[in-house]
Amino acid sequence: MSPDSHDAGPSRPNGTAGRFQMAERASVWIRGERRLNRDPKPCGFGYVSGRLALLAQSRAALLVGWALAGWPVWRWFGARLDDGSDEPWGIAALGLSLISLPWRGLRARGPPRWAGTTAAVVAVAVVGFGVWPPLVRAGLWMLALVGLLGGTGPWLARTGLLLLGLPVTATAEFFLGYPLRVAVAAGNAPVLRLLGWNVERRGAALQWAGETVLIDAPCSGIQMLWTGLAAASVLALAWRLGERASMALVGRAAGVVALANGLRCTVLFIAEVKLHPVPGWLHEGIGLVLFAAALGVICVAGARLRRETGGPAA
Amino acid sequence: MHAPLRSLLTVLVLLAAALVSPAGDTAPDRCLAPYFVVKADRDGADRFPLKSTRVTAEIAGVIADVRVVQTYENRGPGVIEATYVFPASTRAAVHGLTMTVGGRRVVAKIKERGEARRTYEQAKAAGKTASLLEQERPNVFQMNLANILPGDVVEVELAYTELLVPAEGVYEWCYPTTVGPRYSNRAAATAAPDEQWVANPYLPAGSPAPAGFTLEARLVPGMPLQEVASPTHRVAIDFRNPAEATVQLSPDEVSPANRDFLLHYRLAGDAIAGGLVLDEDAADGGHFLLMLAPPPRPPVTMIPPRDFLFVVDVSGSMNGFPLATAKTLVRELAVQLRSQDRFNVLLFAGDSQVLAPASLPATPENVAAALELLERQQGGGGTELVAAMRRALALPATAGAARIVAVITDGYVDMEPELFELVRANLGRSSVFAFGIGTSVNRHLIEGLARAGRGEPFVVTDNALAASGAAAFRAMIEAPVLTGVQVDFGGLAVSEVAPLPVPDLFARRPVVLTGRYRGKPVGTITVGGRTGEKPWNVAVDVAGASRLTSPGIIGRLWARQRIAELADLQALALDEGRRQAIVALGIAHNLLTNYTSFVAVDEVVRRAPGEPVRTVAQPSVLPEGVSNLAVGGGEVATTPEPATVLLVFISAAAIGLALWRIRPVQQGV
Repeated sequence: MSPDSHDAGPSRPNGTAGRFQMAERASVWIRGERRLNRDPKPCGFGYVSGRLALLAQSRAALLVGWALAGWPVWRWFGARLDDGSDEPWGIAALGLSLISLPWRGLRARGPPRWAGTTAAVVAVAVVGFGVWPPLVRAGLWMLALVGLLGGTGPWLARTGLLLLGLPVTATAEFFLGYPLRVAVAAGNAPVLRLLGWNVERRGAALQWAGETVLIDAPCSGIQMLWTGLAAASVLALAWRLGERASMALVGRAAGVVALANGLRCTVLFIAEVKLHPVPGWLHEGIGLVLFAAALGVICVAGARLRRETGGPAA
Repeated sequence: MHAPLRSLLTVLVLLAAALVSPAGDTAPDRCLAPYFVVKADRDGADRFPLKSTRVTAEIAGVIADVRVVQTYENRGPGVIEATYVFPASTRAAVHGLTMTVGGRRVVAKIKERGEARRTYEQAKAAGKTASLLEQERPNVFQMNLANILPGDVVEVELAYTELLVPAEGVYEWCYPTTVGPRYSNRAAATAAPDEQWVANPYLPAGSPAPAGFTLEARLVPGMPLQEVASPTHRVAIDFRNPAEATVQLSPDEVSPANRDFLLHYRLAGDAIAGGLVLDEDAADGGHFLLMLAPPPRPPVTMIPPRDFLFVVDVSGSMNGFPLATAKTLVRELAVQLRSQDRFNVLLFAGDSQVLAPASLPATPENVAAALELLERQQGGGGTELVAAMRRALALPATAGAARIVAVITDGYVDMEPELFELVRANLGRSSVFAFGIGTSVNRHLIEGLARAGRGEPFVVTDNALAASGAAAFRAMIEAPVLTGVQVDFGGLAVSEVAPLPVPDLFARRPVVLTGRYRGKPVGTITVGGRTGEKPWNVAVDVAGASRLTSPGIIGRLWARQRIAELADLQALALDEGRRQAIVALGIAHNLLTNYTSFVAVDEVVRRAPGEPVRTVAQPSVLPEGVSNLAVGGGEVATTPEPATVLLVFISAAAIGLALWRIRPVQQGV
């Protein structure tokens, strides 16, 4: 629609003119067009709505609105940072993603590229305010930020980093920890049996010859998974990978880190049941070496995806 | 659909499933369980409000009068409510509680449990400092202290009386210092309020005690003392004269409050203090206590063949010294069985296994097989004692032999009523003997099992005492001292005598009877029975009885015994009449019971309205020798991930290297 298109409409009966004008003004206000700047009245509904429409066209103003309206999210975020339940490294991921956001887009006029999607996300967040857990609300709010500023470049990688920057590990540990631990134990038992030890799995514990090795919360692999996904997102961001390539890299990162964690547990099981005892520091060393190997695979996969997809995202 | 989109969708579906599945893991599936205290000093609250416990005891004759002073202090910035689960003797008749705050001393009132709780909650809501003492088990109490302001020092003093009954000439006074973690399979969401204490915080094994502990006892038995010693703690003993001694806990003890304190003493010539004692606490009579020395033990040759069943706890809480002691005990007992005896072994933890489907002859081969089975046990898993006892009591008994069931456990279970009912239901088929092992055994369970099975309780608290304990236990169960006990009160008008019928004596304990009498105390009491194949009789002249100078003590002990009997029946089937009888006894004798509590309220409003109160549960110390396995964790091998900081540094290095090798394309956004 051209900015002047609503000036050329057919004449309307007098009785409905007022209402029609108001509806039209509201429609323009929603579209955020500059046309109403010409409104000659210095006060009244038309003037105010016009000013608001002008303001709405400013992405900086939208961003300020987003930040102000998101105060419950920030308050929760601050409390979570303070309570020590999550690793503080999320801040690094958040910082990286915020730095990488296309802030120059704030100077642009007109509605954001994904205005509809952003509005929908905000609506979902607001309507379900009392229903969503705080983490989901914060996730929606971050998606709204991407909607406001994003749409260009490696937006998927940015989004991933923004979400990983939220305090997700404790929640992931709570909800995904046990299934992951059981999965690790279930994956380990047949491998160890293949290696000749008649290992039995009971829940998240592995038993062999009276010895029990528990795949407990710190063994679930959540921290490795978070770090691996963050590393993959950073690579996708730095290499400006497109959507498909970013998703493929993140998916492969999740797979290879899960594999590395399973392998780590297998090796440490052998060490823990004292088949081949190792000093304490080597426990951590084994995990780091396997994680470094996983990172190597992620880097190679990322480089290959960059080549295959023909370089950076638009 | 594109492959990456499919992957993303799959991940989202999995995440959603994971988010939904814990919602189905509803609270009723979670059991009551002890837990390790978690460091959470976000609000700076004082996590250890109990600063010290001071115990003083006066043991006169056969009665111990004990005062326990707990000092609470709030060194945090906010108002707190402190709760503390602590143990006491199973025979303790708790008859008084006072609270001192800000120089004001408040004497607690005994009230029906619900009313006391309401009084406490009202005082708590009104901002008044208040204390509430509740009985969770006859040997487990919970102190609640509301509105302890920052900087406050609150002293709570509780008083109890206890009857000391000697065995084999040895008097034992026990002061338990910590409550061992209980295993319970009750659902947390549906458990009764008086069951919730099981979910009690613990400090990991080896942690320093957060509160000080001092103990002093004065012994005035009224007869010359022959020997005084503590087998569990270093003590300083000062004999002031041949019939008086003071015992003080040595300051060298590093962790004195992680095990039961035991004090043993003998009277000269293994005499037994007692006889008949009258407490003239009513206008037309009063209460009496009769304690008579037992006859000598008959020779084993006069005892018929026996069928022993050893029920051994091999759960996680038995790991270490208790299981080692259990092995020693069974070995000592098994190798000394006679050729005509039979035996079997049942091991239990989360499930159970038996040596053989039916009892085996006590041949060296069978004994060796039993010991080998026992030696393989490491200790692990839960403590499903009820199921194990059900299985044990259902095992076929040998015809013509006396079935003796020896239960060897630390008693860290929370299913006492069910167990007592089970043992009672099998009375007549088996004699049940409970052997408690551990530095802080659940004596309520051990004594309750023995009482229900008409047997004797036995507790070993130390590895060094295991061999002698096993020998004493063997001596106890191989030949009863006195059977078929009958009492004739002659012309003395008595009522509510306990215990009746008088149980058989397996240990060389005195015959102890308490009851009420009316009218003038005259006549002769005659007690008779059989020892081996011989009759045994003793007569006591009532007119020659000694009288207490401070009335009420025997009345309390009698009421305590009566309440224990009613509580045992109440555990089998809840009855409103019995409940009211217990409440009436508790209120009449100012006694703490399962249905009566002490509550003290300082009438000064000290907390501002709206000021928050944080409840702090004082963590308990794990009993000595009990590993972290008893709480559920700690010593099981795990495979933890590397530290996140190292993962992040490695990731940063890998990303840096990758970006250096393959530079990003410089392009505007």
